[in-house]
Parts: sequence; C-alpha cells; structure tokens
Amino acid sequence: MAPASSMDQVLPVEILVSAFKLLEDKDRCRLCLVSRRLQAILYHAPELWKRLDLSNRYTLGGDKFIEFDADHSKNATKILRALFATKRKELSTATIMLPSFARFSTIMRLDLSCTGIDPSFFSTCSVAEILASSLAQLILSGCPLVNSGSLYHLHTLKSLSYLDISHCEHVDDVGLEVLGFFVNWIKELNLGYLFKVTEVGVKKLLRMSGLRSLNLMGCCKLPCALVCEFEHPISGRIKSYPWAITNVNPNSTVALRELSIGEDSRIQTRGFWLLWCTWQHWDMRKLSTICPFLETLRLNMVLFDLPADGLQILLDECKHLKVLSLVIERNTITTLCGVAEKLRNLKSLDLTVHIGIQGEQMESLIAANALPRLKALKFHSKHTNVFNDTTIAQLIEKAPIIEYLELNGDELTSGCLGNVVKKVSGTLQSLLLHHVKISNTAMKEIAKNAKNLRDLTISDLQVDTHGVNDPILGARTHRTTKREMSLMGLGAANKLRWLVSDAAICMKLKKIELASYDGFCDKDLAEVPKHCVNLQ
Amino acid sequence: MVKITSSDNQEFTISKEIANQSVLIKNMLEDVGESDDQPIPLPNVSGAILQKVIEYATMHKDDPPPAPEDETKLKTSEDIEERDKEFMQLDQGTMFEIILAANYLDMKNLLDLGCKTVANMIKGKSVEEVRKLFNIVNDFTPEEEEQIRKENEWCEDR
Repeated sequence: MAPASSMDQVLPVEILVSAFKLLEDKDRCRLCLVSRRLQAILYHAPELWKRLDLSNRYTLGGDKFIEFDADHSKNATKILRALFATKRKELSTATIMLPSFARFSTIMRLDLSCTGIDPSFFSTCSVAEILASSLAQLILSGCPLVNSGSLYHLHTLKSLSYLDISHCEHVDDVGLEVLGFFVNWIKELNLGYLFKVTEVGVKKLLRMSGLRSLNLMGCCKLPCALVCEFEHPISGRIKSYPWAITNVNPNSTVALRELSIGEDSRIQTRGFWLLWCTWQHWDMRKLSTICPFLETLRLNMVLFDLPADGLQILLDECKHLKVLSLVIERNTITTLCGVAEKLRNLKSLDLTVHIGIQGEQMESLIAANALPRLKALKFHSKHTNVFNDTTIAQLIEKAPIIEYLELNGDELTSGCLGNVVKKVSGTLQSLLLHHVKISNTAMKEIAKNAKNLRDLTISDLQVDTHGVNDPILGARTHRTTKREMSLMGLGAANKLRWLVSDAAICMKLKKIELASYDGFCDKDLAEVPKHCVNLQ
Repeated sequence: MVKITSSDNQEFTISKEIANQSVLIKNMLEDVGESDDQPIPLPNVSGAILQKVIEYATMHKDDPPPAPEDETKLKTSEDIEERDKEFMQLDQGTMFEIILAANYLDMKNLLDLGCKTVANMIKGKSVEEVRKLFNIVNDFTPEEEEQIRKENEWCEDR
C-alpha cells in the first residue's frame, strides 16, 4: 500500500490536473508511466492534450534524412498512428485502460513541422473522427510529403481554421486549387516560401469565402517576386495577378483581413546576397477594390512604379486598415509625407528602408510627423547609413512606440546609442546594430535599460579606437530579459568567452549565432553549453 | 477583526483584509453579517496549516488585485516570486496540506503557487525519480507498462 503522503493519493484529481497543465508534454508523458492512477488521470483529461508538438524544427535538417524510412521510430506518421490507434492489443489483465487516442478528443493545435508526415493519415477513418470536430490549427511547415495531391486528405478536418504549409516545396498551384475546393473553410493560410506557387493558384484561393488571412511571403514565382540579386536584377516575367487583371469583376470582393506578400528583410543578414522583392504595375486601386476589408497589409517589396497617389488610394479605400508594412525607397518618401496624417491613424506601421535612401529623406519623414505609429524600422542593406546622433534622437522623439530598431552605426556615438535605448526602453524588443563602435558603458546602459529586449544582434562590431575594453564584458553585470542574441562579425573571439562566463545572461539566452572573420576555436566554444542551459 | 477556528479547535484572530483573501471566508462573512463575532469553524484545516496559510495571506495582503485571466497565454510554472519560493520550502506532507487548505478556503493565488511548486518538482525527472519523490508504487503489469511506454515514447529525445 502506498504511504499516506503519496502525491496521487493525497491531492484531488482537479488539483493534479491543474498542476500537470503547467508541464511540458515530455514530463506529462513520463507521468503516464508512473502508475495506473496517474495514467488514468492523464488519459482522462483531454484539456491537458490540447496542443501536440511533434515538430523537428530545432533539429538539424529536420526529418529530411531519416523520415522516408517508414520503420524509423521517429517517423511522425508512425508515432501518430500509435497515438491515435483505436485498436490495442488485448491485455490479459482485467483492468480496462482508456485507449491512448481518448486523451486527444479535444486537441486544438497540431504542430508537425519538418516531419515526414504523410497527409493521408488524416483521412484514416478513426483519425478523422477524432480530429474533425476539434483540430483548429495544423502546422505542416517544411514537410516533404505534403504536396498538391496529398493536401486533399485534409478535407476531413472540418474544424480547421489555421493551416501552415509554408516551406512545403512540392506544393504548387494545383495544391491551392485543391485547398480552395476541398478545404475551403480555412480562415488563415500560411503559404510562405512556396516557390512553385503563381498568381493562377492564388486566384483559386479567392473562392474560399471565409479566408481572412493570407501569407504569401517569399513566394518567388508570384510576379511580385522578381527576386533581384544585388546589382544583377533579373528581368523576370510580369504576369497578371488577382488584383491587376484588367477585366476584374467589380462585384468580386474578398473578405481578406490580412495579407502578407514580399520578403522579410531579416533574410539579408544571413547570406552574401542582398535579396528583395520588386513589383511593377502594382495597382492599389484594384487591391482595395478586391480586398476592401483589409486590416493588416504587409507589402514587403519594392514597388518601383507606384503612382504618387497609390498610398492615398489604399488608405482612403481600405478604411479598416490598422497595420501596414511597407518598403520605402527614394521615390516613395514624398508620397509618405503626403499621407502622414493617415499614417498617424494606423495602429502600427512597419517600414523597411531600401538602398539609396539619404539621411535628408529620413529627416523629411520625421519632420512630416509621419512616424508616431512606427513599430519597426528595418533596412535592406546594413550599409545604409541614414542617421547621425541628432537625427536618431529626433526619430526616437517622433516614434515613441518603436519595438524593432535596426541601425547602421557608422556615424553614431556610443553615448547616443545608450540614450536612444533608454528613451524607448519600455517598448523596444529587438535591436539590431551594424557596424557600431560601442563602449562598455553604453552596452551596460543598454543592458540595464532595455527591460523588454528579447533579441539583440550586433554585427560587424568595430574595434573601439579609444581602447575602452570589451563591451560584452560590460553587459555581463546586468540581468536582462534577452532571449535571443546574435553576435556577428565580432572582432575578437575571446568576447564569446567573456559572454558565456556570465551566468545571469546565459540563463536567459536561447540562441547564439556566431559569425566572425577571425573564426572561433574549440576553446572558445567549449564553454558555451556549460553556461547556457536554455540554449536551443 | 475576524475569528476562525481550526479542526483541532485552535482559534485565530485575523484582520478582515487577510480573511477576505479566502473566498470561502469572505462569502461566509457576507452571509452572517458584520455584528456576529462567533468564530468561523474551518473543520478541514488543522491549526498548524492554518498558521502557515495566515502567514502567506499576511505576506500578500498588499498585493494588487489579480489581472483577468488570459486564455491565450500559455501558463508557466517559472514565474514564482522569491518570497513564495521560500515559503514553499516545506516537507511534502505539509505542502500538500497547504494546497488542500488553499483549495478548500478558495485562495486562488496560494493554490496556483502550490500547483506551480508541484509542477516544478516533476519537471525534468525520470519516471523512477518521480515514483521515488512522491512515494508512488509502480502497479502496472509489465505488459501494461510496455503498452503505455509505446504510447508515450514520442516525446522523448525531442
């Protein structure tokens, strides 16, 4: 008999369940193996199994190399079949144990990204029965077996409202047609980085009357995506796209609330090439006619020949627009200044600065007071240098809610940076500094003040000519809430050692990215895992 | 001031703001009215445990009212205040009794703290370690254990 103090005997089920809610799946699964009573409690509590994460997002290469071996124990399809198996080998004992699938009867979110899941799994009768009424979010990002044909199997998921098939390289226009025909109740769709998708497929999606959110980021075959390599623009095909067809039916409006299209500027910091999307003949009037209910629009591409009144039309016609993301280049500055008043009414504004913008142009934007809702300022090239100490102070003055700030620090002094961060410390979450000279004191100042900072990237750190010591060392002494920190192009490898020897910072670090011209040696890296327990 | 008595007939006199942290006592006070100075009997809580609960309530008497629950936010057991962590440095038996008392007295904060503490004790432990920690006997037949293991091995090594 168990002693009186055994947890599962003393505490009532509802208290145990609320404690188990705080655990991760891993711990919950282990608990199932502890005793019959705990197993029964856990299997009888579907509220503990609402989200199931089988993704391999954080492993090297995901399942690409092992998944096609169907017998592999880590095969996602196999795991799922075991989890949802309705028939189980008869056990000789008299006790009837609740089958495994019962705990998933109200599952809401299933994350299978980067796995070799075979979508036909979802049309297995027993599985469909369990998932049809509950599963609302399905993430199949980067799954090699998801293709245009196999998307058909999702038709059993009657409650599905969010589907992520980004990075599923085999999906093409036919796949979108399949979705539009067989799974047309989806409300939010992430099609990011589906290289084969063209405007023909996107048009098919318009039959999904409930579609509220559509993400087309990085879909390179869309006519928007004449992806340019730096200085070698490929003159691509310019085709028609839903909101540029000349004879569009004026009655066909789409209930779309959120549209993302283009390319994230963050990708710049990864490779050697500068990549961005360009789009010619973008027609704001047609866009606003077809999608009059837009609340969020992310146009992360260079609109080369946008007519001067384009933005005006968009802001006038899409009356519900609250969140806007744009790339600005030389010619759009004046337009932006012209609609400054409308921009002030947005909830958030996200600007990416294209190459070729001058400091004076940024100043004119600041002067026109167009930026009070500015949430993010990004750059296509980290060499674009538009701010000096005075203008950055002006920007911060006029953009009080900024959360994401990227800067080239060629003309910035260290003390100024400290002040900037102090000013926006309440909102700032991401800070990217390129080519800065940053002193010990300023780094300390940043670490101390930026309470909400989650992401700090410093690239091409310049050696401080005044011989002031190590900036990273300076940051060590303060506890910050940084969760992610990338240090690229560090001048000296020993800075890493300084960094990882401090427990207060390392505990919070989840990711370190390293890039340096000097290279790191094993000795530098050896200390990293020891100190950074939360590193992913 | 409010008087309460424990199951072993110990009497405690506490201020109203401390008493009100227990929804159970708060409701009782509202029901019986102000004038009554009969002690409120709490037959499910022993004196020693009540002492600890009052200690906790006193420590938190100046807390701002809790923010409304955000369903979308994932709950975590990591956000425990330092003083609460110290308060929960107890033997298991006492800790469970405090959790039971918090449940009975309807003190959400203390109950949450208890759940978080239990969760943190389980986190990262192996099956065998959990059994040992909580004095739980493995009552599976080998056959059953194999079956349950198969159904739950998916999350290991992730």
